[in-house]
Amino acid sequence: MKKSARFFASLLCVGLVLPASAQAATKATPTPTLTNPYGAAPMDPPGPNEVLLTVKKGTKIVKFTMKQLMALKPQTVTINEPFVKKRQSFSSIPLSLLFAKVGIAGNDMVATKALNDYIYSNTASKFVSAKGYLAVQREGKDIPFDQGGPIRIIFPSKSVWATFLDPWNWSLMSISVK
Amino acid sequence: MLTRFKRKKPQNRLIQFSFGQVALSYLVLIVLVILSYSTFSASRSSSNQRQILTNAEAPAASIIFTQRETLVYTTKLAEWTNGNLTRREVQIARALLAQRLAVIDSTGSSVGSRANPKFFDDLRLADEIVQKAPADFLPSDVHAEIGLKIHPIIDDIMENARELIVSYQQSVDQQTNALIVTHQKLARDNLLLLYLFIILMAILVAWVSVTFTRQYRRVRSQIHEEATGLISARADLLATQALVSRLKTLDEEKNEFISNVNHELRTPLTSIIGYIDLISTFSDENTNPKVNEFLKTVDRNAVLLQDLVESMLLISRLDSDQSKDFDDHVDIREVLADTVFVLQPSLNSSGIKIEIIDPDPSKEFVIHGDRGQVSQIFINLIANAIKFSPDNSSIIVDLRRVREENHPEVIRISITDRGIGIPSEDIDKLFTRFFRAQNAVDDQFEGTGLGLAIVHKIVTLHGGEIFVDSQVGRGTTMTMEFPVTQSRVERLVKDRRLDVMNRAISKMSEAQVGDLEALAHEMGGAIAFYSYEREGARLVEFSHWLRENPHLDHSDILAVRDKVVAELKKALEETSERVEA
Repeated sequence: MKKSARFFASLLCVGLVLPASAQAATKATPTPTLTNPYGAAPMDPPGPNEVLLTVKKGTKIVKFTMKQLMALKPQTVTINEPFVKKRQSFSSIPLSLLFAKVGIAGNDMVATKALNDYIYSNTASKFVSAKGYLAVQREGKDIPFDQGGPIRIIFPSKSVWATFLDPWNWSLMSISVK
Repeated sequence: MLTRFKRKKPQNRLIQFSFGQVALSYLVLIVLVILSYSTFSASRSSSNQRQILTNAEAPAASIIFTQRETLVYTTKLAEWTNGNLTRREVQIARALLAQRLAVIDSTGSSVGSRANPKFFDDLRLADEIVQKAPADFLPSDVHAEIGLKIHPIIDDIMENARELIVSYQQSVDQQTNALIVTHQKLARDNLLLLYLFIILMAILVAWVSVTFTRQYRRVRSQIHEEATGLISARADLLATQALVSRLKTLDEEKNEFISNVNHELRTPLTSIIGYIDLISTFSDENTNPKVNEFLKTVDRNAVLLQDLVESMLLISRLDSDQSKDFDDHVDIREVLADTVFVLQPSLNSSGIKIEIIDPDPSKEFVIHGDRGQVSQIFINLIANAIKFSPDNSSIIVDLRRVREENHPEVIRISITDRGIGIPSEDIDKLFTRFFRAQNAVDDQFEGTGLGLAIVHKIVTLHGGEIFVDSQVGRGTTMTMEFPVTQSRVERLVKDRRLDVMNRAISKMSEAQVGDLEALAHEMGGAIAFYSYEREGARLVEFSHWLRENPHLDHSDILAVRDKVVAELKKALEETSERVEA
């Protein structure tokens, strides 16, 4: 599982989006854009109580809708986004804050799981010391599903995991302690 | 005999490499460099291979995830047509598939770029159907209608996804296989180079080893040869030393023998000669003339034999006194006068005169040596001169002190006669014991042939040299040179000379005007005695001038005094410089 996660992370090493045509994409280096050429039509809006994130430790479970996440007063974090290789600003919530909601701390082995079932695991202290954030918006707008949204994990440029891409989990679904 | 041992010229280097070995060494080095480069390239290739394999793993994983997302999407699409899911859930699955398709790997290609365009056509068709359908759950009345539309599309999507996966997998396989082939080729090349290197290295090592062994054996042989030579030389040296020692002993024994024999001979000879003289006194006019004639012959031969014995005794003694240290100062003039006195009877009987040329009587002719031996020199040489000179002729003895350039001063004594002379072919052998010049033998001049050998021996023992210059019928000049030895007086004068002059200068400089006349006279005599004749005369002249001019101003007197003192100082400086030189 862990090996698969590393493979997956290495796949994310360049960028999200491609030029408009598939043929052009085979020649060109990735040009970061805010659209996905393989994306679909506009999506239906989420339901008012649609859960985006579940944080769980043992029997203690906390579920967050987008509204609840925004209520945690995300702070703006500007980073060198390693996949699109561009400075981007994200509205973000410290993971430590989310961990505290269910009492995750220290050597708790935390597993972050994406909608596509990608999982990255490490201790809570490592996530905290790496100053991990949960990004809920990019450049003041929601992050589309086909671009790693709606929520994802990011790390500041000076973080020890700034260039270690495995923990940069996209389309995050849950945070749990094994 | 001492074996002459010739030491071989040592070689500069103990071990020498041939041109071929050097060339082979360079070849091995070149192969090693190529092998190193090739190994490095293979290593880099291997690293690249690992990287590409890793990169290939990533697309493989990407394919798996793409397949998964496609499966998830199509599954959700099917469930949506059955009314089990909301449209949003289908849209999320579709977005996640798009997210997957947009991922770009290290080659710069996205997963989607490898897909068949039909795949995207089907996706767009499915998107349109979904978009046109009602939101939320699909109403049951349209399940069948939309299902009919969507299921072929699902099948196409799955089929195209499968093709995408297969083609992607083939691409990865091709890259991997190409790398493996390249790597295998490099490995094969490296192996060949390694074999070549090992073979060349083995040849080089074997070759050099053989050469080293040969050279080592040759050097060892040389050392053995040299050691053998040294041992042989040492043995020869010891044998020679023993021989020298034996010869020395024999020589000493011979001298002792001769000395003893001569002593034994001299005693009866003296008695014989004495009795001959006694018998002669009894001879008168009545004695048979034949008897008188026989007596004279006996007497002459007895005297000759006595001379021979004396000479042999002397030369034997000289041979025994090789290292004798002389401690006498011998005045040549005195020795010469004594010699002339001793030989006066012979001179008188032959009417020969001794003419002594002594151009510088003030100089001493003193040598360091043995007076008796030096006397023997003059007796032998002058006696020879008398013997070979015609009656009433002159023998010239010349005494000189000579200093030639770059040579120390020597005393040169020449004795010249007007005798029969010596044949030139005999001159070289003249000082050989018992040798006699042929014309002397022919003319029946008596002699033992030891006189000049004794002279040569004594001259040599006194550090001198002797030369012969002779012309047959014109006469002979025997010239001797001895190193000068200072007499006691000369040494005294030399040692005190500077002190006396210093004292004279000091006294003359400090004296009162009234004392100058007497002082100048006294000091003039003193320094003249110590070889400052000119300066001494100058002082005496100054003294006379003072006496003859008693009323001179003191200033005039002192001015002249200073001038005289300046001359004395100059002479003193010159003497000091000579002494230092």
